[in-house]
Amino acid sequence: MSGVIDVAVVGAGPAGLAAALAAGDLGCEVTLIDAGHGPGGQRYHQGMLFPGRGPARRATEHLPPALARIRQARQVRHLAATSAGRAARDHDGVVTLWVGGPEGGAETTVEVRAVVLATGATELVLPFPGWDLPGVTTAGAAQALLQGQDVTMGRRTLVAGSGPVLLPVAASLAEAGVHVVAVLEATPAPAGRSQAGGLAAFPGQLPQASGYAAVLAGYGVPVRTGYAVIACQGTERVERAVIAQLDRDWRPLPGSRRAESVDAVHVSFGFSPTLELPRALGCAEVRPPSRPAGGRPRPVILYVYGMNVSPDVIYIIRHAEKPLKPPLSGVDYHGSQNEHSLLPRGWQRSGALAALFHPDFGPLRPGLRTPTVLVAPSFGHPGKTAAHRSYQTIQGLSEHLELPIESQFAQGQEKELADSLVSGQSGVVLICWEHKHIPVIASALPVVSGTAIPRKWPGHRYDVIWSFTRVPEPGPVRYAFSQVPQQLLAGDTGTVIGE
Amino acid sequence: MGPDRMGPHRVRFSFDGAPLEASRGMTIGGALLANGIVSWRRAGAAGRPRGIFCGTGGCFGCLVDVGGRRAVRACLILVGDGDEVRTSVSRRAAG
Repeated sequence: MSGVIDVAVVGAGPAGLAAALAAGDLGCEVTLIDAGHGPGGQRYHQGMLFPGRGPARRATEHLPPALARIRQARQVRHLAATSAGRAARDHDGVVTLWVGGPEGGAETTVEVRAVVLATGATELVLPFPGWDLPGVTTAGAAQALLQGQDVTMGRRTLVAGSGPVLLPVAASLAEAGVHVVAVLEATPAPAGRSQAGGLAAFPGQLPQASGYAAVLAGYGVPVRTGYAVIACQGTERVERAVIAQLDRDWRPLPGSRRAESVDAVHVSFGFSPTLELPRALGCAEVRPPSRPAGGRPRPVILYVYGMNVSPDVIYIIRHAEKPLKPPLSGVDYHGSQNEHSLLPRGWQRSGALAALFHPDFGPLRPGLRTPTVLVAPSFGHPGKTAAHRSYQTIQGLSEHLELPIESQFAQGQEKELADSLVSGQSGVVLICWEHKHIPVIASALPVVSGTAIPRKWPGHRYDVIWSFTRVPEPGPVRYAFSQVPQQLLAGDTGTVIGE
Repeated sequence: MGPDRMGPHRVRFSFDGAPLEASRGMTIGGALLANGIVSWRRAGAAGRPRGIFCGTGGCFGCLVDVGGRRAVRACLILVGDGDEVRTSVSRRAAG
């Protein structure tokens, strides 16, 4: 190939397609590079979806228009079945990508001024004895084979691991006629929660997961929390899976092992961004939850999520305890009296919230995740504006996570804030806001139909988290609503906010 | 069951000499699974059987020999007319 092109997009999943089309619309010459045989990535199984069955049919009904547009976009040259294996950047900023067919085809180079890396995510699996037996696959492989090629691995299967992806995969298999013996979620249900439905390990996802749970219940598939496949046995393929009950640290409980006859096992423990090319190009890698050694990294943050173009989770809390009447005064970050600052109890909560969400303080409570984006309302003078309390409430968390607090929006711009988050952020967002306006944010988020959100946040409640968890279904983004009692300080009630 | 749903375009291929059919557009891995074959590789000193694991080209578990090409990923390569697919042996030298 000769000449330096404008834009190369690596990855033809939803993000890569959007980037290629946007660049093409701006008149750029775009090369779209993807290992798949058609556009769509793993999310849309390279455009090869079989409409015959429930889950796949629902997916085809929501295929993005980009999938059709990309085939006609004249500005976009699509290199299908092509991998970008290596990348380098020269002093002029021109990037060279080495591309080739997936297996031994001639390698060639693409020289390009701007690169968009949309390489998605890789499924995580914890190994166990016998994981390599034929019939044992990732949950993603089972889903891709079924929805992309209409093929199933076995007739009697277990779906095991951890995370919300287990339920839709199991539901797809059940609808395709596979006997799913059980779905095993390794994380035990939180204490005090019913095991009914087995979904209690993901309280934020109960409402939408109940859609898959209903499908599974209809096929008589039990969903069991606190169980795992700890070994697979067989000679030429998997014939038996050894199941055990786990404690909170995922250690098998003595005496709980039993064997189950199966001919397929599908496992998944979540996803991790695919980072080979970003690393090859020298992108700084920032992992918000852990503190980098030796000072602050350059502020280049890449979040690459193959399955998500909206946040996975949005948490909303209110600012912590404040002075109730003007004569009472709070203290600012430096300890000086200030009527707009938090009370000492509020600062206690601020510190406790840092511990609640930061993994350095111990494992997070089941169902809670570490924020990757912090949001508070913008404020004027820190000493004079009440909105500063919201900032103070997550100031400790911000410092521990080394994450800036984003304050683009002010009180009164709740709708704009919600829209901006849903269409422009990824990861886990924590919003700290003034309590009377929180229901406005909540009502501006796209939630599962039929969701009841309290219309008012009572003035005396500081101890609740509102949680919105993205429904892992094809189609428009939807969030499931739940409430998590903080239970951080003495006097926290452990209850949620009623209607 | 799978191939019948995939439309009229059929592909004939063979696996270790046995004639098989699949639908055009299937990967070799999908075509073998549709024929009830789950393993097409022997790996390691013990020659353990292997097949599809990750299904996305990442794990290299599903290597297979096709015609003159050795050790290609069955989950990525589309099955073609007349393909001679054979069990791939990637065995570490003993001792």
